[in-house]
Amino acid sequence: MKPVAFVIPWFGEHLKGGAEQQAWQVANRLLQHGVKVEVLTTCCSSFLEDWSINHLPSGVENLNGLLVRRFKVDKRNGKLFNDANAHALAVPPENLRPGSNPFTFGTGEQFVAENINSLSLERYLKRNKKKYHAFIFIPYLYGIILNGLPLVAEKAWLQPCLHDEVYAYLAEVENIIRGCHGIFYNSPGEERLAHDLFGPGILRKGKVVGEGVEISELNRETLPRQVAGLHLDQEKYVLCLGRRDNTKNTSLLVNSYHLYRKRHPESTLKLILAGPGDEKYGAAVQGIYDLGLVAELDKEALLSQCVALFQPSRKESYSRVIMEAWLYNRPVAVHGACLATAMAVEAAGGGWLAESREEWSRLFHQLEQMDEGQLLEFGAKGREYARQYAEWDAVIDRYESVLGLRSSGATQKDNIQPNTLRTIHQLTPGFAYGDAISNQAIILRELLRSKGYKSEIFTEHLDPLMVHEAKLFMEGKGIHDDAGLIYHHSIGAGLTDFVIKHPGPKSLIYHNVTPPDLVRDLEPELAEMLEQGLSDLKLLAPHFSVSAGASRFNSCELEENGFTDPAVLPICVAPEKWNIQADPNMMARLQDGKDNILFVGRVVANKCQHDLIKAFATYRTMYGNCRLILVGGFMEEESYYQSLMELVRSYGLEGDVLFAGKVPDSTLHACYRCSHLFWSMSEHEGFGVPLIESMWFDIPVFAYKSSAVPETLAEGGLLFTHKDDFTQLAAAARLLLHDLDLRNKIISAQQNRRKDFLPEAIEMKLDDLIRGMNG
Amino acid sequence: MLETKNSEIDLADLLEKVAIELKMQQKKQGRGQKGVFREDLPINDPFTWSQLKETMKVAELNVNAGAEVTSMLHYRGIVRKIARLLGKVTVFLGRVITIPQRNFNSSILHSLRITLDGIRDMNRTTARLEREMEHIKEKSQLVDYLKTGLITQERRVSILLEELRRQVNGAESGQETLVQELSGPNILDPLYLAFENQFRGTREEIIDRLMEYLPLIREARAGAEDREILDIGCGRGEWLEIMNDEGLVAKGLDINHVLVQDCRDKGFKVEENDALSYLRSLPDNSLGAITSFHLIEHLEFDTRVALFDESVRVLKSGGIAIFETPNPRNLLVGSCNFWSDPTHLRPLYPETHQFLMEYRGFCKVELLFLHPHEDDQRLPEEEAPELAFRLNELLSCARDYAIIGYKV
Repeated sequence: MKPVAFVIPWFGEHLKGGAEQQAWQVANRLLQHGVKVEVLTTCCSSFLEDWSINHLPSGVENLNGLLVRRFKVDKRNGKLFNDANAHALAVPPENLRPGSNPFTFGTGEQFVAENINSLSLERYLKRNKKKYHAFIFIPYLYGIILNGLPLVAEKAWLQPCLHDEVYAYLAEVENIIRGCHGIFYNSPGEERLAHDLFGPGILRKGKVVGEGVEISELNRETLPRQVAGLHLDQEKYVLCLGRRDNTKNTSLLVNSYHLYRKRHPESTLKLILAGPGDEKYGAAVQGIYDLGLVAELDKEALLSQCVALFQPSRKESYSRVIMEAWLYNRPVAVHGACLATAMAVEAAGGGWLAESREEWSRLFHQLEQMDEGQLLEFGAKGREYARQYAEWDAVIDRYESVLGLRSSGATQKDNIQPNTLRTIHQLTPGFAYGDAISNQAIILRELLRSKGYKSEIFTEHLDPLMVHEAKLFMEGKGIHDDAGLIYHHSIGAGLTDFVIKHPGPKSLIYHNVTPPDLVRDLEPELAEMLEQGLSDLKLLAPHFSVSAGASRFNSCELEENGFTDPAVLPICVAPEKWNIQADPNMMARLQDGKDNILFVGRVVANKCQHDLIKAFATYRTMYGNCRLILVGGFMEEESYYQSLMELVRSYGLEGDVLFAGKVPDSTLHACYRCSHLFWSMSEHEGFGVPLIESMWFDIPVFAYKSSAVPETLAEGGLLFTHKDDFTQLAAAARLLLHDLDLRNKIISAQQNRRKDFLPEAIEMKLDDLIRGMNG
Repeated sequence: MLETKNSEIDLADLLEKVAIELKMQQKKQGRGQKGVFREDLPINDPFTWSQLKETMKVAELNVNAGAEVTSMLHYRGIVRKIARLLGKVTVFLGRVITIPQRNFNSSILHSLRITLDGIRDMNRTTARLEREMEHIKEKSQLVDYLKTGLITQERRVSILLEELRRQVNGAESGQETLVQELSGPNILDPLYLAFENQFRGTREEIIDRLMEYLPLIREARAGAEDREILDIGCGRGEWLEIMNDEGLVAKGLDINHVLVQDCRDKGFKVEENDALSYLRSLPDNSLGAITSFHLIEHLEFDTRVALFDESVRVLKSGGIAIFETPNPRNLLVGSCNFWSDPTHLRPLYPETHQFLMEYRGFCKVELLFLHPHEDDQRLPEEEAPELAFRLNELLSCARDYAIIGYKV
């Protein structure tokens, strides 16, 4: 097996910092498991040193079997870097918005260019990519990571150690997050932050591996009983460990304790601070002991005897001390606004959350009232959690399985049966950018090719944007008589004669035709085309023994039109499509604090955008502060669109209804990312791709029960059966937007449902179809 | 009305929540919380300002296209230096195109901004004007109402005053009316006939001129059995003759006994009476048209006004009134020809009478200028065209004019 390489700006056993420690531990432990491990790092000795100085010699160093390659760092302009840094830090945290870069006016590029960089390391990566099994880049912020990762992206795993800070919004960071092959997270909280920042496109390539904590082998009895003159077993104290400065929020804790003591002057509960940092706390407040940096043993002793550990920092991707406290059976309290730690505490049930000074001070009082039994209860729950996420064996197991270091090679795909089809082409009436049928055809083609078939897509109408994906159908040119053919049928096309005559094995996938009656009044020409599509279906039926609908709803229609035993082949809706940058302008525009209500679908009468606008008008009248985003193609001159505009004008909704039109994926991505509710009034959906897409974006779906909608949603979303009472609908929509409990229930059901539309789920059904074609 | 297959969600519970939510909203509404329920006033602003702003922003960002080299920070080392150099050379060479292009961009952008500001102001003004229009409409309805009332009152007052005067003057002037006084004693009637024959023009000439009014009469659908035409001061009956020939129902009125007899001899229906007395004897809404050629210049001002008032009263809806009189705009007519008739009181200024008729309740009141001098009477324009033109304007323009009004 080829070696796994860690890429990190600084490397050494005694370097401080979560990422540095993680790299050291994981590298050595993987090595112990027999994995070949190398470390690619710089000659700079640590974060705290000058990044343009080579303190250590370049070259290869063998640390007990661990191969460390050091590369010289580049010269850099520290002033430019500091300017860029200051520029970004000047943005108040509350103004940071996912998808909009706070490093404006080229300061982002400057920040990366004048960061810690090493051209020689980059050259090495480029030349030796093939020699490695995988690269693990850790952490996310430095030049060698931001510039190095794209060079070996297809083999690159990123362990970002992501914090909710201004750097996480840097465009170059998004670039590596999107580009890398996979992502390791330290905690579920960090994973959630990444999803909030970058959307569902990275959902399936991430894995929470956890971060190990070295459980002290020492017996409690051997720990010192006295630290800095305090007899620990006689004191009742809350402990705060770690670097003490403003970014770690230490002063909040000190102030809260101060408040607590003012209210309860008789209290004997103390606050002990320990850790490096310039500032000294506590001199002025009785009961606070600032011990400064303490020895490792003293730290262990302090942890083992405390009432609880308080971690007020808002910027943690993972807090080792929390796990350490839990492993000593001690409960913890963390800042509620820090996703990583708060999620861990909530999931474990091993402590409490607090945010304001008031809450923290009340927590002091609450703890003082608790007896040891109650405290132990919380501590034990924490210990349980810590053993799962923080025990090194479990962590290393996860690394090995994700990196494919242990498996006996990937499972072989079902290969083609002998003496059967070698070629399966697809035929679609139209092929356009952003079109659901076209996307499905692409996914099927990839699946077919991965199974070893020769497969192309032929189409009658080819969108110029998609010329690289499909071929123009020219009287069957390129489709041999013995080739298998999958025909996607939707509205009337000139392909009917050809597919009927095609002598080879064939199957039909039906994508539904909108009932012409629904649109006849407003769009008579379209109605005619739809009618043609429906009548063609009857003609096709006797010639296709194998058929499938995109939903049960569609299959039933096939049956009604004379097809025998049609199967269901759902449309594949995978989140990877959204691993693209969201349109930054749209992102900035839509994140203005309004509730964004979204509908995606062509502007046509049967999708009932008119009902949606009316219901939205009611919602806006009742609650205000909202926006309706209508994504979907329309022609300015179309009468239905004109009537919608008229409606918008008559309700005075001009500023609140956004007709986005037919948009590129990056803009649609932004619309989904910024929306809080997907609301459909549509009376006809043959499948409803946007319903599933909303599920990937964790947007609750609120939809009128019609056609294939209930089938597609299944347990996801919330349906309504009448649309005459707009006030009631508006009230329900309000709950979906603001009742957290309801929202969470809906979203969690949707997270389950969306998995049914992954390529893996579709693949089996495609196999059935192919078997049918083979006879 | 809600449905879900999500087993975690208790539908009954959810429906109750929705009901509570609705009740809370209604309470808020009841308390009149401002800002929660906004007034849904339709606004007629054809511009989506936010979209405009967005696109303007894009234009602003790109207005300096081609002015600078990007910092090429994705390259480093020597490659970056070369890239920046190449970039600079390209930008330098491109200036031939980019400088005028940038000038064009910024001037277009600037004019767009000005235009947008202008449109915004205009939109505001339009909105304000629309509001004011509404006010004015309301007021004008009120004025119409008052006007009708006023006319009725004035008519009543003038009748009362006349009655009073008659009683004060006693028995000797009991029979007299104002019109009679104006037209002189009956004894002069033959004289006036002779005068007419001498000065008014030949019967054929007059018929020719009067034919011009026929389309107006037809348009007003006057002359039907129930829409009789009354010609006040019918004189020699030229107009009555036309009406007769055209098959229109018409009646004449004159106080000149001789002329009345003359007309009756020709077979026309003619009353011998003065205008006001006769009109007052008629019921409301009884005539299709009232015509009067060269009469009103014989009347005193208050009589003229009374004549207009009575005409409005007796005309049917849509009925037409035509009053022709000499045109004082024509210098010859105003200074000289007008006075050829010793019974003329004074020339009548056209717009004043247009105003009068309008003010007394006619609508669509128009002036029709008629009968200019024939070409051979005009000054030749060859020698001094400008002078000739201006003099012709003064001396040879329309000799008569008609005030035409309709009853609503």
